[in-house]
Amino acid sequence: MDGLIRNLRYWSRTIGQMVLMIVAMVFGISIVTELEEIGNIPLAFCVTMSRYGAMYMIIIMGILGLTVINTYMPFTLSMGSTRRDSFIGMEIMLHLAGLFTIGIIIGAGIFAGRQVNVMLFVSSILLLTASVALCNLVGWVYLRFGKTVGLTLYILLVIVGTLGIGMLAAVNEEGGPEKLGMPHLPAAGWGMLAVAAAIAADTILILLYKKEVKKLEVRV
Amino acid sequence: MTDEKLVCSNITKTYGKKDVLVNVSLELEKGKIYGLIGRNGAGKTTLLSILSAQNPASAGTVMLGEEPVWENRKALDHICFSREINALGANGQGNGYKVKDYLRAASIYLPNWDKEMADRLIKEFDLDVKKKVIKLSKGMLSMLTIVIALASKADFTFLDEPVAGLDVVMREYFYRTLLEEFTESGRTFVISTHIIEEASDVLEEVIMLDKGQIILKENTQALLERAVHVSGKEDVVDAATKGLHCMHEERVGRSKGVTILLREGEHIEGNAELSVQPVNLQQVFVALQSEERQAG
Repeated sequence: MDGLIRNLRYWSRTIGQMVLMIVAMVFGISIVTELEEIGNIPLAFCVTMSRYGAMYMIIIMGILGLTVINTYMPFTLSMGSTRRDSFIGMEIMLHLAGLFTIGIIIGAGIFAGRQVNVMLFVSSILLLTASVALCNLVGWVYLRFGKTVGLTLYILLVIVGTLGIGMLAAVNEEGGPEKLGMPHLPAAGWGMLAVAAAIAADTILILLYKKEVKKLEVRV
Repeated sequence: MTDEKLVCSNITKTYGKKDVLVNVSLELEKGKIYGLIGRNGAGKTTLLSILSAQNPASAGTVMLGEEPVWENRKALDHICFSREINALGANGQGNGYKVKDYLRAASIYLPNWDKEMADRLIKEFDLDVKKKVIKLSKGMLSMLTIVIALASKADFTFLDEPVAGLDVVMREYFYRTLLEEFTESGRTFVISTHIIEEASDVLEEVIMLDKGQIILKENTQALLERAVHVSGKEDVVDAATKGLHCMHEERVGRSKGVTILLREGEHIEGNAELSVQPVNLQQVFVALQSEERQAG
């Protein structure tokens, strides 16, 4: 348990810095794009965060997937951590950071006047698992197939991910599925399906990732 | 503190088709300063990485008493490998860390971390804790390595090229501080170094590695007592050294010089025609390397 606690302390700062980066990025963008129209910094930030926060979260999580496995995890091993404790600590903090960021996005959305409904809740869970799964997938591919493949995959996934968010938003609208030519399901039903897929993907990736992490080496 | 020995048995490490370590077996006792000496690419860093479970062995085991070291926090809490810090960060990528981030991580992960000692050493080395590691000179990186190693208070502490880049004043300070810490704590230190002669005064036992194998492991003093350089006219030297373990020969005209490692019970004395001189650790190492090259 000691080893895990040490890693939670270490990863909380490293991953926490990434979360702050998302918030800072969105804050900067809100000042540039929304402030003039809205005229109110907190509201401008909340509007931007609720609109774009998800996209930036996915982008940052992907970058984290590369840096975690390339730099930070070997660093923890060089300080005497076991791979198991480092990996579990990292996964816990990744999920917590994701939850925290989503909390900010939802809070910002409520402040900006968006409605709280089941779809919002479902989308949030989907976003959390999808973004953490992305982080894990990029890290695993990097370990298994090398830097070039990992980076290429990351770029492709960011494109697919942002398209997926757009689709989710469209499905959330009334008559959305029909407009997209999809079979009829309640919006919440689509959301549940997506959540189940994301959770399954995240779980599989964690298992695969752990298998590669077991062989991770520290190099000068 | 543990009284157990750190034992590695039949360690082999292979990268692709290349054998970096071949059947290495080693026992490290509590309360000694070992020198790990070898040429570039001999496998020193790889061996230390495996002893500290930072890298997996392809075969073999590393045990601390009854506990395996691999992925075992209980054993790893007694071991610290303060490896050479690459300015670009572990595994070749910049991590953006500052000196204070390294010290913070060390205080989190190393259970016996001595903050007071770390602060004192930082002050002595005049290290700026707010400076990014990527901006440190080679000497400053070595200083950071030394701070982490000494302040870790780990029972088995490994240092990889700790004096690389240090000026002579700082190297003296390091050896002095090392001996003080060793005397006070009785920790085991393993120091891999290329600056052999300077380190030989602090090394109690020397381990020589060549092409992934241990070619010698012996008490430093005992080794130096049985290593001699015999010189004189070629025929005289040949007669005097017949049957002895000759590691390295040099010829200048009709004169010959031979570096010898005397076995138990063997003895050689100088006279008017034959000079017998002691050799230093560096000369022993070079002579052994020469012998290995000829044998290979």
